Amino acid sequence: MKNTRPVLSLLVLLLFFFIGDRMIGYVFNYLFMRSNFRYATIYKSEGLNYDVLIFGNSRGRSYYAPYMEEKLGLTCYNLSYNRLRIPFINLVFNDYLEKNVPPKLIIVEIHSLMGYLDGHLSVIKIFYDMSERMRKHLATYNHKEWQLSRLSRVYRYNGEFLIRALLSGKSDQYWMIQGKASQAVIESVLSKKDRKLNPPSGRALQEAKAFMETANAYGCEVRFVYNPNMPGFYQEGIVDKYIASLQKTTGKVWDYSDLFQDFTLFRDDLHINIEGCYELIDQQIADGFYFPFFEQREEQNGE
Amino acid sequence: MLFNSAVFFIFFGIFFVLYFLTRGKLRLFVMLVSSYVFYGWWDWRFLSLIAISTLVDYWAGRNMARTDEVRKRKLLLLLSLTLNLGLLGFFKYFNFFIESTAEFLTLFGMRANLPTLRIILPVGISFYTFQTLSYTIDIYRHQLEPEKSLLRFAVFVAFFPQLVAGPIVRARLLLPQLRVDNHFDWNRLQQGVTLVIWGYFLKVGLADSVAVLVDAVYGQPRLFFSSALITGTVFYAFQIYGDFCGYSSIAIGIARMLGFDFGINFNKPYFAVSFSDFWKRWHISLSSWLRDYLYIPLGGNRSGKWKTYRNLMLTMLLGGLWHGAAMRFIIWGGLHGIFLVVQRLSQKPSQWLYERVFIPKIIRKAIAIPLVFALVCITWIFFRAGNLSEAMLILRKVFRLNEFSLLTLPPKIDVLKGSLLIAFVIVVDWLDEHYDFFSRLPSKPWLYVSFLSLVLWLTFFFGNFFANAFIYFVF
Repeated sequence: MKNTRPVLSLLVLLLFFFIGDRMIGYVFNYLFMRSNFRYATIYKSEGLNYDVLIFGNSRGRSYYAPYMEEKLGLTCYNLSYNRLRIPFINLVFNDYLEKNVPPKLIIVEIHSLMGYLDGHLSVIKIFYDMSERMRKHLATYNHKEWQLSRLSRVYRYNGEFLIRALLSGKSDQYWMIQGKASQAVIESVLSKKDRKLNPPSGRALQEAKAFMETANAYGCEVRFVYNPNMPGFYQEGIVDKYIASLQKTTGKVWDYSDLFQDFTLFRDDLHINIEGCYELIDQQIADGFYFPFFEQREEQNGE
Repeated sequence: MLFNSAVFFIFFGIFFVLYFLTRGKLRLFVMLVSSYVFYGWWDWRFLSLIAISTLVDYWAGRNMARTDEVRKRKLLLLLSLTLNLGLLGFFKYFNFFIESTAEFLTLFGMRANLPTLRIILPVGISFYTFQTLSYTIDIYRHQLEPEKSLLRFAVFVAFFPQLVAGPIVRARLLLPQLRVDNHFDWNRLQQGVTLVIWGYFLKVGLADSVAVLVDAVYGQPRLFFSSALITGTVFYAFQIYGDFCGYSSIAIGIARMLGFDFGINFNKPYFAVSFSDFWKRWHISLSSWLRDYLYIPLGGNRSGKWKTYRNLMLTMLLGGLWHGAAMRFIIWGGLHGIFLVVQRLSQKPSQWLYERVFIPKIIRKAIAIPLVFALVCITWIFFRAGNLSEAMLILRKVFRLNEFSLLTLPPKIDVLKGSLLIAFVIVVDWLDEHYDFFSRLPSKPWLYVSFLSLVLWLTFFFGNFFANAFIYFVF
């Protein structure tokens, strides 16, 4: 029986891999759900109750929740994440509403409606066990990811969400873009004059509309907002044109694209830094962006 | 067809069954048809090139063996060289030479609008061309008997595991193996599975994961500083290693399952203590091909030191050109040539030093390995950069050594992930270097099971299953 050893080794390898895969998957799930990562907390069924929710891609991260809470006296929760777009926001928002208290106000940073809308398809496999909605979406739009997720539980945690969850500490709401844009970045922005901004795609508008309908059904108010661009990023008129084409579907878009002329308020060509975030929120308060929620509270305090 | 695509798994499953169900000529026929399907999946039109090379080299080899007339043998060899190198030259280098000529003429104030063609590079042409060339050259040198069966010869040229990205398996090694009807062997299957799993880890787990950061940094080098560019370059060193060594490992593993022995193509190259050592470990099938069919015929190291240096430089420059039709590949080869020459020049002074000052071997190694790695990384900058000016920009920025703060690093999660994977590969390679890890693995069942399971879990946890083709497909 000279073949016994290799045959057994191969069989045991197969068995060991799959049992280990299930066990590691279980541990990862435990660690993920135990964390305070923004997308883990909403599935804990603890009945989160926030006044303001913020959605967006990495630009949405500029809404620094601790500062907003301090200034507004409202509880705020930022659910933005790098590269994520409106289809993912819809999925997360619907899941949020199933397990938690609907917010009063929702801020949507509109860069989440631009460009490639399916960045989430590589990360939502982590919700495979937690959300029927996410699982179905994955099976429909990225069959290969869905199949791999079925084959391996470890694979469901492939991506930065688990690592981010493990690093999140007591709260991941302090995760903010620090630092200042380098001279090379500034020069690169200023040297390129022909940046284009394509009008929102039909699918982006459809998803935005669906989002608003859900929000309205739960009595939530939605504010769409355009965050500051680095000076000179777009030529004049380009952002206005984009916003005009979006407003037909979303209603008013709060345009802060040219709020800053100071490069030191930016971390890089696309993102404002923490100082920029403070200034943006202060400006929004001055503009009545948070009305009536903020003013109401002031009145309540006055009473 | 890519090794890391779902369709390949189906293809290989069917092939594996058919292969072991058949014998003799029928098996060869199955192998040939399958190999053509494997290649034709990408673009069936270029199968004609493989067929032409096969027919001409088969005919040339047979006729060469029938005559002792030197002139006739030379003519037949020349025919084979002209055809194979002609096809390679046309598809790979035509535009490069036209553009280079036009640039050269402008240096003398002459404007030349020379026409270029929109040519698709046939996948794997550099590999199978070198493979068939070795066949005719070996027959010319009386080192090999010609293959009588056209079917067997066609399988030798097109056998799918090594067809598109090597290793370059010479006729002397593969043809005798094709004459034997291999039986299914569980031990070979186990060895093959080990190599295939490790290969997939290197490709999907390591190379395609670190590629995300490498692409970001090399995509816009102007925006990054020293720390990011150095990280990107070190990651690229492991990306190309993982990509190419991974492909070779899968190819060798598949061949092993079927009963074939392709030898090895990589032998822990980043543990090299010198550049000659590096080239004995990196892409061994190409470096030994260049040694046997270019460096030694040029005179090797037998005609004095200056000619040796010339031969080294020529071999490495052509090795660079083999990789791609661009100046940056020639510079990459040239730098390796210079390093090899400098190494030879420094042999006597270092010998003199070692005789007078005692430096323990381990210290010498601890200095030599990182030094060779760092210099290899410099050459990789030319290999990876989008063009020559970007390569120079990256090089300048790397040596400026500015902006080392953590904030200038690329996304930290990518750095963390890539560093962990690289550390794992270094540890495994170190174990293999010192304890012959992979050879001993099957004899220790529990270690075998735990190690390969760990490799599979790491592949699923870190791997990028949506990446594109292997880097060496374009060479």
